[in-house]
Amino acid sequence: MIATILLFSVPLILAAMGEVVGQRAGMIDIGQEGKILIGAFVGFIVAKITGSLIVGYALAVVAGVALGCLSTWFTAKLQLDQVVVGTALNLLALGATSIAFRIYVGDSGKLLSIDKAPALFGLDPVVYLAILSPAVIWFVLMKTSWGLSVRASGEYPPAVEAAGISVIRRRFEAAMLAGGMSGLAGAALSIALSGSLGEGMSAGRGFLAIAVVTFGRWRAPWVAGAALLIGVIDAVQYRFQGQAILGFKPPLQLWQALPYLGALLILFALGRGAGAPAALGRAYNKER
Amino acid sequence: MSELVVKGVRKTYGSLVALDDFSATFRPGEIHAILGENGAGKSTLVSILSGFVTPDQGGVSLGSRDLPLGQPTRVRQLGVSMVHQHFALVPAMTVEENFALDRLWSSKGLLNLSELAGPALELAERLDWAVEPKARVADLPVGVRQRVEILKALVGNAPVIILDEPTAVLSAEEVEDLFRVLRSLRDEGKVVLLIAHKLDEVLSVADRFTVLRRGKWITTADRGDVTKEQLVQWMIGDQLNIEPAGRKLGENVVCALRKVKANDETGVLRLTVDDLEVRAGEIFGIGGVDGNGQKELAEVLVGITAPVAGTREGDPSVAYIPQDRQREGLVLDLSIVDNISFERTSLVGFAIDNPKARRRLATELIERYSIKVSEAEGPVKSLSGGNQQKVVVARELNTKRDLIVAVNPTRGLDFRAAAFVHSSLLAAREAGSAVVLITADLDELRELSDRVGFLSGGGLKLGGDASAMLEGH
Repeated sequence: MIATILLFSVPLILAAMGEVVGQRAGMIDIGQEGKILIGAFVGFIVAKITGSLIVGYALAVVAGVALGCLSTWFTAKLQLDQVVVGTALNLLALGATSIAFRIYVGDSGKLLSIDKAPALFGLDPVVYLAILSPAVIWFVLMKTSWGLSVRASGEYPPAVEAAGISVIRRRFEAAMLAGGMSGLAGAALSIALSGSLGEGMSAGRGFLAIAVVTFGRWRAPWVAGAALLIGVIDAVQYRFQGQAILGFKPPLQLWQALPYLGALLILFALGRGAGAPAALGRAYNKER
Repeated sequence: MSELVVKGVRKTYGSLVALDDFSATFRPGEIHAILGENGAGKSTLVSILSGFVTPDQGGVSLGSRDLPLGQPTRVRQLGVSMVHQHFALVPAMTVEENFALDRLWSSKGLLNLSELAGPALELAERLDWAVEPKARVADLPVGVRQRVEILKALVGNAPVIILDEPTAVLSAEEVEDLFRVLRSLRDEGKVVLLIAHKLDEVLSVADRFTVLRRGKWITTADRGDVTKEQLVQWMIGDQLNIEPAGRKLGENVVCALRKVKANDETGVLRLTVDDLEVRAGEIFGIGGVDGNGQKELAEVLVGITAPVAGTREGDPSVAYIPQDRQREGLVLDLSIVDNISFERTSLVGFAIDNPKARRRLATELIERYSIKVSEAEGPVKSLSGGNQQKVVVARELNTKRDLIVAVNPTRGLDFRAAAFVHSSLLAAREAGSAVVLITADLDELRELSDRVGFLSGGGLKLGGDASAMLEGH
């Protein structure tokens, strides 16, 4: 049961850790969902073709970094609206992966499968990565020089420029890190969690990651805790699917909606409130 | 220790000459105040000195070295530090983190907060200027925030420190404390440049003065050689006394303020007006240096801000030409048609939008006010500053209102656009409106006003003696 919960939480934790870095730098990345989807496809297909899971994971990360660069080009450099760019990226990813899926698998709609990585002390190695990631991200954000300037870029960009540091450059770097984490999250989803590939398999995890970041108040350890909690709900619903409760058998869709319902309720209870980076979602323009 | 020498600096913005062939020498071990009215060129000068603006002509040197103007980071590394009016501090972070952020270029990898913030904190100690390193900047009073900003500027041991209107945000006690520190910096042999307009304050701290007027160097003098009256004369020129034309005033009081006090958005008291009556058919001119209660007075008159004490009498229909046209007067991303045609009255209830009628109105106004537009449907932000202001003026003055409040309505406009705004205000007066013209431009005040007063430190002094605006509170 614990192994299941952990596995369920892995993609969410990884993606949310990336989102923490991005949001701390002042970028709200709606395109998270698309990056996970692309990561899932690239990771899976590359692993399948090369026969090496490590190469699959690596290329998924590369794809995520590239997408992070692309969306930051639009949002930080060209100063387009972050929500619009993110949404466009999601639609693009959905379309591109659907086409790739049809070409690769044909129209049959069947799932592809892959052999999972050999377990390490009973768990998939990627689980350890996810367990370590909150500590690493926390350390990078709070205990390095780079982290301080990233956080300041999300709070009050003029102070960063006044200190002689480029805000746009910091945002690019943060988006690359965040994109890489999303790519990794996607590959973990297809290779480690499902062991198969399906259309639209990210199934809202990117949006959940955004909710979880708010839920965890932009602090890596809290966010990881929140992601784990959603993972628990997800694992529980998976287990109870199809079972009758007090003589009533809830429809499958209701069970599947449970993690999202949980996230919604938590968000509702906590609200936006204090703790959000002050410059979140705003492009920085030196002249203004 | 080396001198900061400015040689023949000139800077123009379009047809406006902001700074004209300015030369001066600032010596180490002196507090040098740069004086001038709004628009005299003080801000342009300090922006050039600190490397933010590249002059059209001329240069600046520190000791034997020419400063790379236009490169703020380089200029700062070479020893010219600037304390801006708007602090470059991250409010959500601690004092320590802010100090560290500013020294981050000297560090890679692991963040060592105490090492990076150490020099600034030691300096604070040496200057007897307590700051709590773990306090969040957002929780600090503005005087302490300024300390943090000044300490940041001083840490690199810069030989030159420039402070832009540092007292504007401070209480009297905080000003005294600031001056104490400035004196000790002077005694250490630094060049301390102080941009200021409150004469009483500056007289108590500066060793020398340089006066600017309309972009030109007027004089540089030692403290011992000047009187306050003389400085005022240099700053305002030979237009000290404004004598309004003496038209006969209308009887009808359109709006009156009685014992009014008003706060700014942060809750600080900014305005105290005992008695002000504005009559139909007059232009009431109110002069003064920016930031002395102008915005608050305008907003109380218009009715945007409710006074915290006293009453506003009368219920006039109002037109408002705000100082910040881009943020308060226009919706920059909307079209010229939309900006020129939204009527406040139609925002009440469910008036059905009539795009055709609005386009017709807009076309007519664009024609009548000769606003230069390439297309009326284009966003208003594509217009020049002068034409943006015309859009505001056209909208506000199109329908007759009882009361018109205009704040610095011609700032940044070229001669023709300014003349146009003036004639529009005069026409409104002739049509029987009461006009309150709040402006820092003495010529404008003299040309248009029927009665005048001056704002200083939030208080309103009636009468044409312009030196009133340079008095302390």
